[in-house]
Amino acid sequence: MDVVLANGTQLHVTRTTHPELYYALRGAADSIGVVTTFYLQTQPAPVQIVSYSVNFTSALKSSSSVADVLLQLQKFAQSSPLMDRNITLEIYMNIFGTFELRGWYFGDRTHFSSAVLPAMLEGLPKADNTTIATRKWLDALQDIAEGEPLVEPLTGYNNHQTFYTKSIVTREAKPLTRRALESFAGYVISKGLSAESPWETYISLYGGRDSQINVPSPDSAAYSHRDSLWVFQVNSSPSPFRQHLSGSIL
Amino acid sequence: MLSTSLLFLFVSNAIADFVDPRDHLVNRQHQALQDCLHAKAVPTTLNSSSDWTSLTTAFNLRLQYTPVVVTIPETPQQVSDSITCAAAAGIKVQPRSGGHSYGSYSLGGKNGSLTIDLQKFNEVSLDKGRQLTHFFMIFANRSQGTGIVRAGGGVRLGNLGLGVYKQGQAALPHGTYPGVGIGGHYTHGGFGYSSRRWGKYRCFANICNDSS
Repeated sequence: MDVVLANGTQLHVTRTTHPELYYALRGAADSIGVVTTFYLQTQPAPVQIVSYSVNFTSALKSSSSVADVLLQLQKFAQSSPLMDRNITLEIYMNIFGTFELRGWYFGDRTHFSSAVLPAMLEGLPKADNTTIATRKWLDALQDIAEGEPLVEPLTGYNNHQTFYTKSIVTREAKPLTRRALESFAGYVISKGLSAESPWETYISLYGGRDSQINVPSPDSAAYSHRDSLWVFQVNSSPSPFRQHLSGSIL
Repeated sequence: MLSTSLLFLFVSNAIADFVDPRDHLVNRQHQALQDCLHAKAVPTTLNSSSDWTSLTTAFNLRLQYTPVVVTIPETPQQVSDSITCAAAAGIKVQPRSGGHSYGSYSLGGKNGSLTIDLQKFNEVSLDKGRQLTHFFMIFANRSQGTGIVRAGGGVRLGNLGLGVYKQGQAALPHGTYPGVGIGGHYTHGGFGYSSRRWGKYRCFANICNDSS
């Protein structure tokens, strides 16, 4: 990294030349300096990836059905021999009752649909709808870009939102219990679906078997969260829905 | 509701009548900062400029903080000058890359900071110098040299992902929203759809590859 420190000094920081700065900048840079250039290792882009989504909306009726889905995904993530670094897994819920599992698989589509996905969903009632598609790399990046084009302007960027957000990270060593998940789902069903402000929740899998996020030791960088399992993010944002709502009233 | 409004009126009138001696200090600080930046020819935007609103509006409009000055440096030296001028004037410094901090920390997280807008640090340059001929490269589109990308501190994720792909069919782990800048993303553990596969902080050049 090329860095300017708080006293104005300019440095090229590497692991060998400045091990302490190298440690601190990766996780706590804003207490240390301004990074003007990053030197990042890229990988060969996959030619294509498998993009999947499994809709469980009809399970969002009872807290035990929701907990069944989440517990099965947690069990798969932590213990299935078919779980590895090539699986991206995220659960999405919103005020409109959407409850879906989605993600990517870096690998063969047939293997995913015949072996990986059935193991992921083992013992669950049949999903409302399942889609599995092969996507070229840039198309896959565009698919998850929340409607924004990948090309961003170099000046005059002008995207804004109005939102409140909270997140919770759970630990690999403390998998979520049925009691905790039923409590979460019960709140979503009894309060969330009739809330005043629109909201959405992303539950992203950071950990699980073979997750490369959790491989480095906690003291290898100032970023030390090498034992995360799930990350829950709840966003509430009234503005995108305002027009729609007033439109329906009129 | 009515009583709250009345109370607010009363309080704001009271503030208007009260001249805080700290205002003089603040004005002196601002003048010293502007003089220093001017002397060092750092590109600077003040609240009288036409692009001030566009440069200082938070991504999350719920949390709007206003800096005293925005610098738009073009060189690391001008970043350094921005920092030393602000320090000499007793003003806090906040770099801004994509400006997507949910808490608006990229505008300082409070009023009165100097914001260093990194938008001119927009280089995306992939090193394709050394061709790898590894057997497993058959699974990728093509080989890509050392595969290390130089990416300016103000690059947004969409331009980064697109840039490394177009230059060498390369990819790296990053978040989903293309407008997010790498300055906060890669210094705070940003997550995306390839993070489980490629890791976090495993791919800064000196971790994955000792070549640089």
